[in-house]
Amino acid sequence: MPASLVALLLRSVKDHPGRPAVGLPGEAPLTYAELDQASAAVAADLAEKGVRRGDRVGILVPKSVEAVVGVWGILRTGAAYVPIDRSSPPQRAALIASNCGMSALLASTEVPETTDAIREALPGIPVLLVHGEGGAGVRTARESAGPEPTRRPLPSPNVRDLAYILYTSGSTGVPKGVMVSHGAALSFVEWAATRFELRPEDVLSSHAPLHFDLSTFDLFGAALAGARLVVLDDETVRFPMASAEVLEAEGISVWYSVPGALRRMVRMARLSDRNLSALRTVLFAGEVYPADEIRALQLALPPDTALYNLYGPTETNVCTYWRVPPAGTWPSASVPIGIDCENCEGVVVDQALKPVPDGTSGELLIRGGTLMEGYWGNDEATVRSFMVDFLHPHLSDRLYRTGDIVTRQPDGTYSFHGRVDHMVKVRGYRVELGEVEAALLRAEGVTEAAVVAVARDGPNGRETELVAFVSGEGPDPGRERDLRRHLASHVLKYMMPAEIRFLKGFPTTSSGKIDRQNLKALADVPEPASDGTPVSRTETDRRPGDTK
Amino acid sequence: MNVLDSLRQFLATELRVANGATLDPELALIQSGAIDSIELMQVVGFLESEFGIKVDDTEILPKNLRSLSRMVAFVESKREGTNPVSGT
Repeated sequence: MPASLVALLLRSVKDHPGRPAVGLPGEAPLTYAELDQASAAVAADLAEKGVRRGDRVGILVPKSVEAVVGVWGILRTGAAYVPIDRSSPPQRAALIASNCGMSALLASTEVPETTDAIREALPGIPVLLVHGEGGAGVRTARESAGPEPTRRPLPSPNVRDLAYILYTSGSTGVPKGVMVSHGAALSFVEWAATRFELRPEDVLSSHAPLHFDLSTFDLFGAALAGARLVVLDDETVRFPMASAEVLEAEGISVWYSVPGALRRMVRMARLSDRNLSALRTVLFAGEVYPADEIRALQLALPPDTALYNLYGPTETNVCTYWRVPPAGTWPSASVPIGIDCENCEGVVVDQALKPVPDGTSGELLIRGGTLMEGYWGNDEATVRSFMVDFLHPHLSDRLYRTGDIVTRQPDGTYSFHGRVDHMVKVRGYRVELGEVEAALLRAEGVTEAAVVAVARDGPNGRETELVAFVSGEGPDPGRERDLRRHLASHVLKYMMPAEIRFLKGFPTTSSGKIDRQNLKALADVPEPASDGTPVSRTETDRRPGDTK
Repeated sequence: MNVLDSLRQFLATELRVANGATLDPELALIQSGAIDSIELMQVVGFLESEFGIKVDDTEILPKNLRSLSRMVAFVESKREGTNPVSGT
């Protein structure tokens, strides 16, 4: 096993220096030799700024060749990379930067407010502008790839060093930093490269943003195989026709994205009219892909394309997979999450954490080499997420509690049923409803807040939407606008509720907790007012099922 | 109200884009993070209902919808019956 992700890259640099490594659609890619030089140059710059092995370095760079070079540059210093979503409110980005104690930031001139917020949170933090036009000191990947003077050798990270920290929604309002070691990332990428038979001739799409764990497959899988990575920028990702054109024109052979991206291409981008003969494998993960829509995808793609549904929280990386049977041979309406990946193992337990027999639903626990190290600076959450492996206590192994309710069939296939807690998926992104609630409670005049998720038909088909309920001040005409403005500076866009409704008081259960089932039912009842003014109501003056 | 102002008002009031009412017509709406993919479809729906045009799926392209100025040009070309750029 290689000692680190960096060793994977260096192996491909040695084996295939002239092969294409990474590029934008329609542009000449960097070769592996050029990627080596460019990333070494970034690493040397970071080292000169004082970055050392074990540090955390932020990366606030839109999807681009420079972002990929930046990730490798950070890893080559022995530091962990911490991607920041460019659409993140500056305040949230600053919170993440402080939380992990970033020692430097790779940035783009296109995101000045967020960069400034991080500078303010961490005065004196070195910022390297590696992307964007017009900024002083911008060095594009290609410029960096030129001949470099001899630099001093870089440290070699080992399997225990952290490779990256991905921040996910946190139920208390503070995002949680999932720490993934080189060893865990290698375990995943080596499994994936074997399972999906990645090879140098492959062309992988890089569709997911860096702060989304799907991106690690493309980045590291391509490097392992010596394959070509095609980076889709934010705009290409958002326009289904543009994505489909890349899929066809670049000869993508392995595609990985959330189901939503594939669904939009099927619906809007005439996939079946395109020449997709290079495409051999399509992977999707992050949210449930409805069975009838998978069938539509199968019909739109060449018949020999292999489709896989992958499952796994950021904390475990991919831990189960399901190969979709050929079209026409697959009668079931449900879409299983599949069987254990060969490098990890699931255990299904009841509420007392005792294993349950096959066919009985329970919480899925995962053991194996891909587990995260824990949450950065949050021992309490780390301890809560893991338990000692009760089946093998002598091995001091850990089991990660996914919080997902599943059933395992006798053939080892899992079906996913839902969550034990208040985490939901919006467009494939994890949202802890508690994070949105905590942000609402920080707004002036809000005494209680609860957020529920509902499934609604939208312009892109059925989607999960959030509905927030608040009590306290309001409603008045400016109140919702003020709350939205407040939320926009604390939470990410996909966490923004579709509706904010005002209640005089909250329905409660017999134990005195907020009655979320009741709120969900309320959310399903449209707002009755026709003049657009928010309507105030309580459990007693309106119950689900009441007519207007 | 002209096309640009209608679009700005839609972004500001319906999509709640910060400073939507005064957005730079040349701003790349998606690249800058002002709107996401779901909102892009809402914009297309608005263009159809507000300006009485029919937007084909093959016309939902960055070159037609990247920025407010592109959207304005797109709407005007549709109204005049000239062919806007469409994909393959």
